[in-house]
Amino acid sequence: MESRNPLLVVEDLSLEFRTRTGVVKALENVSFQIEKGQTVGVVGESGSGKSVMSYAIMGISDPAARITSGRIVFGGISLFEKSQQELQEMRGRELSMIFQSPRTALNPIRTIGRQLEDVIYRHSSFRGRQIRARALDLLNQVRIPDPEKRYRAYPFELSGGMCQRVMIAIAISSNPWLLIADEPVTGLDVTTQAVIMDLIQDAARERNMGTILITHDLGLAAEYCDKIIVMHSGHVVEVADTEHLFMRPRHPYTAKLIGATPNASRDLAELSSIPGNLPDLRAELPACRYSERCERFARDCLESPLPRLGTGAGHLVACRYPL
Amino acid sequence: MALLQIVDLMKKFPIRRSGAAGRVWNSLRGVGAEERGEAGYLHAVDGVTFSIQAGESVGLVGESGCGKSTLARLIARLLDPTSGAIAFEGRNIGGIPAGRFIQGEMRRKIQMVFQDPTESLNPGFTTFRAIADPLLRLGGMRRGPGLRMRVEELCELVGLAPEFLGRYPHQLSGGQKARVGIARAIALDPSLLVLDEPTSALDVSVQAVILHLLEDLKNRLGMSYLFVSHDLNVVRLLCQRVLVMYLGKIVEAGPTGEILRRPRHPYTRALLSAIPAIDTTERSERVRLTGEPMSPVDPSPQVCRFYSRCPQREERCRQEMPVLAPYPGGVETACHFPLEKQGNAGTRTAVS
Repeated sequence: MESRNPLLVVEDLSLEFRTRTGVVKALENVSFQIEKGQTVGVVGESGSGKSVMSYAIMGISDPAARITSGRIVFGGISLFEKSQQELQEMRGRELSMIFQSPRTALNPIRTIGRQLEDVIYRHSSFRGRQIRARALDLLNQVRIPDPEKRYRAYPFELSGGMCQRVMIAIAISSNPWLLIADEPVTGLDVTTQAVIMDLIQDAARERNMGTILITHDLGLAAEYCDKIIVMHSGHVVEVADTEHLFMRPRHPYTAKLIGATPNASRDLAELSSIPGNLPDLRAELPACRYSERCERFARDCLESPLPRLGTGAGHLVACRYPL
Repeated sequence: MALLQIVDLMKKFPIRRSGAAGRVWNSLRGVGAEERGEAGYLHAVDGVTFSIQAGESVGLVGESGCGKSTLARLIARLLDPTSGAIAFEGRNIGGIPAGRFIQGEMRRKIQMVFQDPTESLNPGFTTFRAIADPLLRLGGMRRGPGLRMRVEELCELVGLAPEFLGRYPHQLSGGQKARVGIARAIALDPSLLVLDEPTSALDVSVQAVILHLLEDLKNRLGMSYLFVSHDLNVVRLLCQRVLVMYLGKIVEAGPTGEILRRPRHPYTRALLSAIPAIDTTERSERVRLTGEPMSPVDPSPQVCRFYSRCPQREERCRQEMPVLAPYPGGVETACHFPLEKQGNAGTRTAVS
């Protein structure tokens, strides 16, 4: 399960933002690891810290962000000990990312062919004609019909699904070790979603690439991920293999999230809702940040430290009274 | 008599093929050079016929660009149809220009909840003013304690605490904004509520709450819903009947359970199989659409709109446009070669 040589280790990571209205404790003691070739889903409501965490891994956090504890080890290298320049070399080469809105992530005034060429030039030894050949090969790999013609297209001339394919082509152009996909199919049609997710999955399998899939869609995570990390207001509340997590969720929040997801058989009456909102991360927070919304709340849930219970098979839950 | 009867409704948007905008359109739609310079029409809604009974909820699903939002806006009378009839309570309201419809008495009977709760609220209006606005404009109410009471009553109906009345949209969460949008829409006691993707911008936790609220309001106030969504699993929670739309046409319609259990149109099946499921037993055989959608600009009246992506296509589909034909279980399907197989397109062997 957990190898001695993981691809990525995030250990005890805490991050805060200094804002005019106070310090926002966006991540607190976040720990998990990813093996080579593994696809890991990060799920949770908006505001749970999914994106903040992935930006921290990429080293592209907002300037107001401050990492207050922990470390990130990627391929045996501690990322916080690297200079910005060294990190820049790694980004797009060993470490790639695709974003939610492909149309805004692409440069609107450069053809997609050019944008692919730029990245290939930057991160490979291909030169001259080889670059174009490589770019066309990549467009083929992401199954863009008629790549020769699309090569000269601008992002606005392509549909959202096509733009996301181009983003994937760019992201995998250097055969990265890890791909972070931040809500890659949100806003696309379900039929297109499925095609794009298949594409990411195939690219990862071919390259033995690790993938972090950030999504709010539990169904998507269930279909495509080997392991799932559940986040709630800056905490990792549960980590487990996909099968275990959905078969037997241990954290009350995970169970509620699953119960709130519409499926093909549940009636409206059976659809659970989660009371309350995410807590204000600027305030003094209890040990369990879900305690205010939790039905199993007891007084000692407010006391630090919150236990992280291992329940075998790599299933971890941060809860005093797990299900 | 149906509450709403739509007959052969058509909406075409003219496209200018010259100038910069025309070039953009041409390239977007993949129109060949020889066709440029001609005026064309985008067929957003193309000969749609269906009805909604009083108290019934009908779902409308389809991918972006299929015309479902245009259809919703035609019915809410924010847009004028090119041709066809919209009969509401027996009166054809399709012919009334949208600009005049706003002032008519029918406006209050058909109301709409928009997709993005942030963009559809005036940032300069407090919650109170947003909800009071339709009451003042169309409800014949005047400022005063009566208005205040009605707004507070509406707030209670949608589960919004009175302390939010003085707040502006930026001070509200997504779920609270959605509630304001709903309160505003039901303020005039409409008989038909058109909901355009009311929960797609919300987290599942909030979505569940809003769906419960919508069901509760429907039962309490006896409204009919036209529920536009791209998510069949959400539609099935609220709607007895569902319409599946593809490129301007309804390709399948019928009782929601029947269609989910046994999709006959290849597009419906692809749509169902693409929905990611938590439960492995719910996953159906993967059907992935290849090819690109056809252009909605002046499409051929003979070729089936799904032809370019259909895994089952045959020569006949290119020569004769399929029309909706009845099948057992109250289902209608527009396909020459409807799927025969029983069950959810064959259960995908368990993914372990």
